[in-house]
Amino acid sequence: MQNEGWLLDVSIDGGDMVLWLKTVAGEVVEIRERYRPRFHVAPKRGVNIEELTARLEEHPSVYAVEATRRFASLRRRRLIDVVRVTVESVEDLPKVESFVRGLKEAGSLYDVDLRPVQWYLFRRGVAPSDRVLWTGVNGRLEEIRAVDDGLALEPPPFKPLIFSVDQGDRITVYDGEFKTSCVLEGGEATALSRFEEIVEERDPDLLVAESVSGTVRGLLDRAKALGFDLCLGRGGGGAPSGRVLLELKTFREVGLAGLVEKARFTLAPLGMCADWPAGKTIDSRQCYEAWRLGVLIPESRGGYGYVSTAWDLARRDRGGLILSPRVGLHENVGCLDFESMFPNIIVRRNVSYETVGPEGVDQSRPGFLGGFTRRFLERRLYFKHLRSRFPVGSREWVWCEQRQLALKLVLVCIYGYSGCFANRFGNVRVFQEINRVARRVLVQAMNIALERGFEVIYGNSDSLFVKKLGAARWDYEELAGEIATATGLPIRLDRHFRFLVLLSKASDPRTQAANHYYGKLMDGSLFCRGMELRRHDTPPFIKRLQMRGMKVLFDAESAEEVMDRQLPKVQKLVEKACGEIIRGEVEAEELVISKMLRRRPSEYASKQPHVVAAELGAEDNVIKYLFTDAGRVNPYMRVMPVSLLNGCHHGYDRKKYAELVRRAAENLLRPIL
Amino acid sequence: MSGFTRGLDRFLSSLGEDALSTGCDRLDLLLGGLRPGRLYLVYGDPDPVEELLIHILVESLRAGGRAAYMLCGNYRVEKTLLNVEGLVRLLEESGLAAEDALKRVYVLCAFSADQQAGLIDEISDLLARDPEVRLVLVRDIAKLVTDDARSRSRAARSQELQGAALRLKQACAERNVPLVVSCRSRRGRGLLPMPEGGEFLRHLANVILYLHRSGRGAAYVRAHLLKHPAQVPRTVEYSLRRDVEVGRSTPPFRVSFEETVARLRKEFQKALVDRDRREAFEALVEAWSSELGAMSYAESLTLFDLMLLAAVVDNRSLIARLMKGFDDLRAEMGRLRERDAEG
Repeated sequence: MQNEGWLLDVSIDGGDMVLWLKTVAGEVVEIRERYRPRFHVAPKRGVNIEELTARLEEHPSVYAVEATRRFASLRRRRLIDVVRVTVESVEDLPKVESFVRGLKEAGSLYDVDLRPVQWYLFRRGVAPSDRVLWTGVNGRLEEIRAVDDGLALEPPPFKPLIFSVDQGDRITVYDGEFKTSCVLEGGEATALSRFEEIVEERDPDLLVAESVSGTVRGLLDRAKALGFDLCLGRGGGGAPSGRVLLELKTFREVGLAGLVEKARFTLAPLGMCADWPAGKTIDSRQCYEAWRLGVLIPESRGGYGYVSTAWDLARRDRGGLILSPRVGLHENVGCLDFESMFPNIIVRRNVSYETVGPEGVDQSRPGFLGGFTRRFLERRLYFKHLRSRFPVGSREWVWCEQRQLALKLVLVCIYGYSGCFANRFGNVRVFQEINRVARRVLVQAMNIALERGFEVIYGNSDSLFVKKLGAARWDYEELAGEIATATGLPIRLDRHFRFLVLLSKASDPRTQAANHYYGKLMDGSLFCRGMELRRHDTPPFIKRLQMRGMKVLFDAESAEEVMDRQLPKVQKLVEKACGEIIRGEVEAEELVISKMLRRRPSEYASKQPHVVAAELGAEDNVIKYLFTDAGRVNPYMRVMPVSLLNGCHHGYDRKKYAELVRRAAENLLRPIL
Repeated sequence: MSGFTRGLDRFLSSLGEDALSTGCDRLDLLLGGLRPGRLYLVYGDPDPVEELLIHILVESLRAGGRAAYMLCGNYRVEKTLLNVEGLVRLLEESGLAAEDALKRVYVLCAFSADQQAGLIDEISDLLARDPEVRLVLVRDIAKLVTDDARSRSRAARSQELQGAALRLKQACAERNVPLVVSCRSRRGRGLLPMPEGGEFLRHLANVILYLHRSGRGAAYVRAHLLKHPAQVPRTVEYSLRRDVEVGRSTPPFRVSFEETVARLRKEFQKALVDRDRREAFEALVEAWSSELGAMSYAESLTLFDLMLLAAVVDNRSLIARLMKGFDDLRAEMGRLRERDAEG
């Protein structure tokens, strides 16, 4: 009988691949399939394929060998002779691989360094979370295939259970909104057995917690130590089989809908791919696409090294183009933004590993990279645009946001990963070509804007800030349309500023600062980049002051009003804030600086304040401290970690904080003073 | 035995061949120049090592022919790329046309140990393909043993490096090309630090040179000759005439610009006698800064040329603005005169 549902998880058990499927009726079923991993091996130069085949057949764990022909590279111009080796089981794979590497007849190995689960899913052509149809007899899988659910918005009905374990004897369970649902206490054994009851009762598909693997393992170990078997899995036994373990941070950031996108992109189990970095995520998709085209997957040793002339390097090794900002206050500014510029360049200019060479881009055949980037780019843009049809914060809006964000995080990295040394198909020229095209496109866009009478006041890689006296929203949209037609790349009016201040460098006011600006949009909201208030190491008091300063500054109808009426108000505001600090009226907690410690304190060469605070006893990686006497010669007397502050501590360095306030105000107002 | 050449014969015959200059007379005397087929291992303070490598590169280009320059380093740990601006300055000071000279340098960038091994084979092919290649330079040959991205045992990585270094030396020897490699130094038991890369690399090298600055910021570099087939170990001090910052990385255009401005402020602006001209220099900084996009967009000129061009263009636009202002004033004066005449 044919069943319909979603593929929840896949794992290996001995010689079987175990599939957990959730039916449309909400039931979760386990079904198994015998799985024999395969890989390819090429004969060494001078060795014939029969000779190699005969040697490979000698190994007892080799199930089958077969001479075949596959493409050697993404160019797909040449088929080479290889032997396909089928191994008895996943457990036997390492020893067979090791045996093959030791054979003098064997050359390169292919299709080896992905996980067996990935290869299984590649061969089956289904991704976890896919809607699937399957048939099975006596718990053995006969057939499974993905049903195209197209652009369905709602994620599969997988039930999460979010929990945290505090101090070993208290387990807190949260609801879908991350609010406390129940607290399990009364001793360790009681909490554990109540947790088991909750798992059994709610029957979740996803277990979500901080450091989830360690947390679950810790619970199982504690239960064992206490003398009972904690059952968190579906198939009986302690291990949470049939349930996916997910990190709380990832689940909060991209949600289930985002994780579904990632699983479909990678064709890897949800619990496996959720926390993969972008490179590994892209690698999985690339391997799948290459394998489908009959290309052998080389071992992951990075792409081929880069060879060019110094002249070529000098001309091509450049990043995105920055058109220097015109420092000062501007009125009625449109920020035109190229939509997914780099993925679009890959798709529309056919930039790919095998199409880009020293002579340019081969347009005679579609590129490998563009092939799959196009599908996911279109998918991302679909959800991005669909989002605007729903009220902000609604369930549908959140799903759209999670899906488009997950895809965006992958798509923006395809460009960077294209030249990365860790990329097995990598080609530095791809990375350089994308940058080259992006630079040309920005200059083309700038010239169109200038021809139409707009002033270009700033440009940064994929965005252009333009203004024109009396221009309305539709003027900017019309300009964007014209640029899109001319360049062949989509661009739209991203933000329409009533006022915009472009900043110069704090260290050298005569030099313009890229990506440092703030402004007020036409809808009245404030927007800023590169300001103190966006930084983690700015005290809350200064962040609020900057925000308040912006609000006051832009509470005007024209640039003249900003300068003549509002600017003095902001200056007064700053003086008042400095006065409060000098008089010690500001609570110490408001002046706490937070900074991430990336290494052990002993590894730092200089005694920076956060390093000293860490040495003095800060309790976390995010060091929170207060300046107590910044002028002291002894660095250990300059700061104090928050953990050592008592409730009524007012002993902060007033002069230092007043200076920080003035500096923040100066950064805000420097270009218009 | 036919086809077999004894080491002594090879050594004696190499004495008759032309040696390549290092660009420094004292070093040439110390080393006897750079002889074809030999492996020179240079290590020590990063600045003088990079400086020497780039001078050797320029000297080889001055002698005609081509060179291969390989840069090894995992950019996620520590970048090793070519500062083209520094190289261009040195080429121009040497009287070479930058474009032509840069086209004669093959640059090979290895960011992982696997890439390094692959590129060393590529150099062998290059030497076979292009007989015009007269010098092979490898910067930080052993760096990727420490900084490799792939998690493997150090022994496996060292073994791979040894194999690759041996292949490279053989290829250079077959083609009669001097091979100069550099590496970082590490603390040893003796008075002087040891080169990174282990005993094998020290054994493979025909000449080993350790460089360090005489003092912090000192102009002179102390060169210790530690191994040489025909010279006794000794030490000399030298200074390369042209001071150039090279080899640190290929910095972003903005960083190169800022460094150039800082250097000009230090070396040029503060030597200007006229106060107004000092101010004018600052106005030029503003003009350059506001057209940094155009300067970085141009592909065919060096940064200094672009700064001069931008300054000229800025002057031209100022002249045009003044001319327009002058025309407006003249028209206004004409109107006033007419009114006076009428009145």
